[in-house]
Amino acid sequence: MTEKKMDVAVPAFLLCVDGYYLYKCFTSRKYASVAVGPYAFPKILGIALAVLCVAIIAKTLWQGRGEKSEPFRIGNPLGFVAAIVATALMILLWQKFGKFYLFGPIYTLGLLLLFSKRENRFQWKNLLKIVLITAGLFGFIYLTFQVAMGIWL
Amino acid sequence: MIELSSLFTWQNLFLAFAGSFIGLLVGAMPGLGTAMAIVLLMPFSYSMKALSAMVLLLCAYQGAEYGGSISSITLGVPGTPSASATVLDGYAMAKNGRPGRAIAYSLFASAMGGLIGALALVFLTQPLAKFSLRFNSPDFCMLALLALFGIVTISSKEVLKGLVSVCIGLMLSTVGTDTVTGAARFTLGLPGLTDGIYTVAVAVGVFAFPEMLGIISDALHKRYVTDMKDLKSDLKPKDYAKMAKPIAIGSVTGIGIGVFPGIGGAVAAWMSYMLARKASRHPDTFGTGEPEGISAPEAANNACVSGSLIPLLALGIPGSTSMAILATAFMIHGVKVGPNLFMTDPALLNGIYIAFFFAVIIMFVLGKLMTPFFASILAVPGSALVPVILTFVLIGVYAGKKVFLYLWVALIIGVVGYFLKRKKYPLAPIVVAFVLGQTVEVNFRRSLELSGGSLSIFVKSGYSKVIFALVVIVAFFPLIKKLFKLLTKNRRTYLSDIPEDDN
Repeated sequence: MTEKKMDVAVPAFLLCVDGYYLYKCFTSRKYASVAVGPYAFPKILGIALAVLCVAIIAKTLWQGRGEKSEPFRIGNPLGFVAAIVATALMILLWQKFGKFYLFGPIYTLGLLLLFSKRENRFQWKNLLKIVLITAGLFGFIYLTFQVAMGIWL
Repeated sequence: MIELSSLFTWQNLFLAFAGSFIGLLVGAMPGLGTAMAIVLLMPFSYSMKALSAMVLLLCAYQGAEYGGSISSITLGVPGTPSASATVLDGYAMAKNGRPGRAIAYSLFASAMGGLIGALALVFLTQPLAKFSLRFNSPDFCMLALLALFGIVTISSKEVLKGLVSVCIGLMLSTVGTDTVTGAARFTLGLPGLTDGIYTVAVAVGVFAFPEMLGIISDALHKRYVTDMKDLKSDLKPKDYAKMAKPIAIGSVTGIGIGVFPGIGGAVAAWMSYMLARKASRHPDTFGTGEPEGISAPEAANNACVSGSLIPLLALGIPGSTSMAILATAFMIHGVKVGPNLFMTDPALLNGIYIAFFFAVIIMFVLGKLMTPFFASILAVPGSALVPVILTFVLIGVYAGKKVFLYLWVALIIGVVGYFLKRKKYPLAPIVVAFVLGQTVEVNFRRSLELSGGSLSIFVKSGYSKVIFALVVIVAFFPLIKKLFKLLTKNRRTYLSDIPEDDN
C-alpha cells in the first residue's frame, strides 16, 4: 500500500460508512406529524460528506498523476497491532467476567513488557521495575476509585 | 455571591494542586497537550461536586499551557502547539547557558497572562451572556456554524479534510433518540446507543487512542533527555519591568483570539510574538534569546485559556477541543452552560471565576518550586507512558456511565482516528462538532419549523445578518490567506510556521 493509495482508501472507507448512513436516512420511517423530520439534518450531513469524499478522491488522483508514491508504513507494526488486540481483549474480558483488578494488571503488565522489547528481545532485567510500576498503578487506581470515590470498576 | 468557604476547602485546595501538577506534567510531555490533561483527569471528577470538578480541570488546563513551555525551553521541542512560538527565544536563551532565566520569564508571563485573562473572564462573560439573550434559534445555529467553520478554515491547513472532520463529528452526534419525535436513529439496534454516544468516548477515541498508537508506531523508545542544569533562577525588578509591554500585548491578543472560536492558543502565541517584535525597540534580537520573545507568546497562550472559556460560559459554544471536553464535564455534572447559567447557577459561575485566579496562583507556585522535576520527567519513555495512559483512558470511558459499549466505540473511533490523523485530517473539529451537534440540529430544525421551511430565516434578523457575514468571511478565510501570502510573497511570515492546534 502506498501513501497515495492510502490517500484514496481513507475517503473511500468514509464513503462506504456514509453510504450506510444515507441508506438508513432514506429508508427509515417518515414522520408526517413534523415539518422537519428526524432524518432531514442527517440527510444533509450524509450528502455533504459524500460530496467532500468524492472531491478529496478526485483531487488526490488529479494531483498525483504520474508521480511516484512512497510506501505507507506503520512503524513497529507488531506493537501497533498488539496494542489494539490487547485493548480489545481487555474490554472483552472485562465485559464478560468483570474482575477489572485481575485483567487490568495483566493488560498493563503485558503492554509494558511488550513495549520494553528492544532488538527483538524482551528486557527481562526490567521485569521487577515493570511489576512495580503495574502494582503501584493499580494500587493507586484502587485507592482513588474504589476507596476514595466509591466507583466500582 | 458564592460563599468562599465552599470553594476554599481542603479538598478543593488539594484538587487545585493535583490538577496543576498533572497539567504541568502532561503539558511538559511533547505531543500530549492540554486536551489530554483534561481527558486523563476527567474520570477523577465523576464523583465530585461540579465546582470541585471545575477546580481540578481548570487547574490542569492552566498548568498544561505553562507546562508546554518547559520542553520548548529545555529541549527546543514544544510540549503543546501553543508553546511552539516560545521555542524561538526560549531555547536560544537556554542554549546561551541561561535556561533558568528563560523558564522564569516564561513562568511569570504565563501567570500574568492567566491573571489578566481571568479578569477578562470576570468582566466580559456576563455582558456577552446578557447580549446573547436577544439571540433566537437561527442566530444560535449560525453561531455554532461560525465556530465550526472557524476551526476548519483558520486552524486546519486542508479545508476539505477539515470539513470532512466536521461532518464526522456532526454525524456522530445524530446517533441516538431524536428529542422531537423519539425516533431511534443509527443505533444499530443496540440499546446502549439510544442515549447517543458518550462524549468522553468520542474525546478518548479522537485524542487518546490515535496519540498512543502514534507513539507506539513512531516514538516508543524516544527519550527526551535534558542535560541542562540551573533550571532555577530569579529575576530582578528591571527584568519584570522589561516584560510589561510584551505581557500586555500577549494578554490582549490571547484574550481576543481565545474568544473567537476555533483559532486557539498556537495562533495567539505566534500573533503576539509578531506584534511584540514589531513593537520592540530591538526587533533584531528576537530569535537569539530575547526575553520579550518569551514573555509575549507565553502570556498569550495562558490568556487564551480564559478567552476561550468566555464563549463557552456565555453562549454554550466551545471554541476548542479542550473547551468541548470541559463542556462535557459540565454536562456530566448536570450543568447546562450558556446564557441561562447566570440565572440557574450563579454561585457556580462565581466559583469558577475565583477558581481561575486560584489556578494561576497555584500554577505559579508549582512552577517556581518544581520546574526541574518536570524537566526531568521528560526522560520517561513512551514504552512506559503508553500502557499507563491506555489504562487510565479505559477507566475514564467506563467509569462515567458504566456501559461497556462505549469502550468499543472509543476503540473503533481511535483506530479510524489514527488513520485519519496519518492522512492529515484534523481531529479537533470532530470533537467540537460532536459537542455542538445538538445545538446546530435543534436550532436548525426549530428555525425551519418557524419559517415553514424557508432558509431565509437565517439572514432575517440584524444579528443573523452579522453572524452570516462573519460565517462568509471565515469560510473564505483560506482564500484571504492565500491573497495575503501573494501580497507578502518575499517577506517571511511566521504564520506559516503555526502548527495545527488540536487542543
